Amino acid sequence: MEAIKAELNAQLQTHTAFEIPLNGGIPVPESVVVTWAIMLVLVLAAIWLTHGMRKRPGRRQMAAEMLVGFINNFCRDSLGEAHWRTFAPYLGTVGLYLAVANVSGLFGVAPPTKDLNVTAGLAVMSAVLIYGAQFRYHGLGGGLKKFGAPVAIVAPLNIMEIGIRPLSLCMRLFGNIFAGFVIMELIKLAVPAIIPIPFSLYFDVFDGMIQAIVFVFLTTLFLAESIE
Amino acid sequence: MILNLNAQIIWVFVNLLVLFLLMKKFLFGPVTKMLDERAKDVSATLDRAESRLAEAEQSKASSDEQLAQAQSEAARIIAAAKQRGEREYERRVAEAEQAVQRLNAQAAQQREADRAAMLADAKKQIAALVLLTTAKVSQCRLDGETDRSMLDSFLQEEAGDAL
Repeated sequence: MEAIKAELNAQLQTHTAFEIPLNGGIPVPESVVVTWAIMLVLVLAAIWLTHGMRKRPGRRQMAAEMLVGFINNFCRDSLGEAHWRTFAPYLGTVGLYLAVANVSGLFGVAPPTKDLNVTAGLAVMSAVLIYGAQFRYHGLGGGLKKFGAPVAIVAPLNIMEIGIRPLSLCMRLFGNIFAGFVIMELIKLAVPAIIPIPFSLYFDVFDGMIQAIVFVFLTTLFLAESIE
Repeated sequence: MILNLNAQIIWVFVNLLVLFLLMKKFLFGPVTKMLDERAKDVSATLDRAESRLAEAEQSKASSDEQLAQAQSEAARIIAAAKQRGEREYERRVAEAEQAVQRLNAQAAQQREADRAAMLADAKKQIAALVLLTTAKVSQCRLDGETDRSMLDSFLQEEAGDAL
């Protein structure tokens, strides 16, 4: 029992992959290295999908157009005709990154979203996007007035939400992926072969995709609320 | 350290911004542009098709109108020609009838004249014959003037009876 506890604890730690020998060593966490790999995969896939695009698309281009069209339509439906072009690339990027990051457990690496820094960073960027857009499209006065909408009495709640929204985004994503990771590690410790496959399909693929969609969906929802 | 929230969060911001720029450049930018261009193309093609259709309908209407005009013109020409033909026919028939009447009248005149001439001739010959016969019967020469007048009166009576 003690041995299992020690091994699990070791698996759950966030490791530093290496240190850049500058300024007395800048640590590069494992999640960042995995993120670089994911970025490389995404960018290479994007280049492969979109090179040599023509008016009459081939199968490759059709796949790219379906993917981008889906993201664009989702943003157009939520954000309206006037703003979707501004936000679709960012929301699409976050969605694709999270989708790949959450299922990266399948390939034997620790998913970057199991690192609290990553989910916190994403959530902070979402909050910056949401409240940045609020002031960008309503001006300083209008942006402040939005906190008193729909009635002035909810202003304290709206102001608290500046912190609560990113916190909930961050913790939901981290909690789901972390819990899935813990359960998967336990199962792998108990039964190393065959049995983990269906569980992995659920915790890595299904839950991972759901959480990626939820994160992007909620960010879009808050964004639509703040720019409307 | 499981819940580690520290300065390494900077990595996340940098990575995400870089990924965002790369994805915008390589995926969202070009594909959205292509989708927009295609949508524009499609709408332009539809507009063009609509205007072509309108044009075609217009030209069909005008050609229909021309056809109808040509048909009515043809009908009018045919009717006029028929009328003219009929008129001509009637004129010819009338002319022919007139000619026949004229010829008939001429023939009747001629016959009348011939008959009169023949009658006069026959009268003359009968008179001569009667004179001759009378002379033969009476064995005497008739006195020209008295007898002839007597004979004429007789003949006139006969002729009046006969006619």
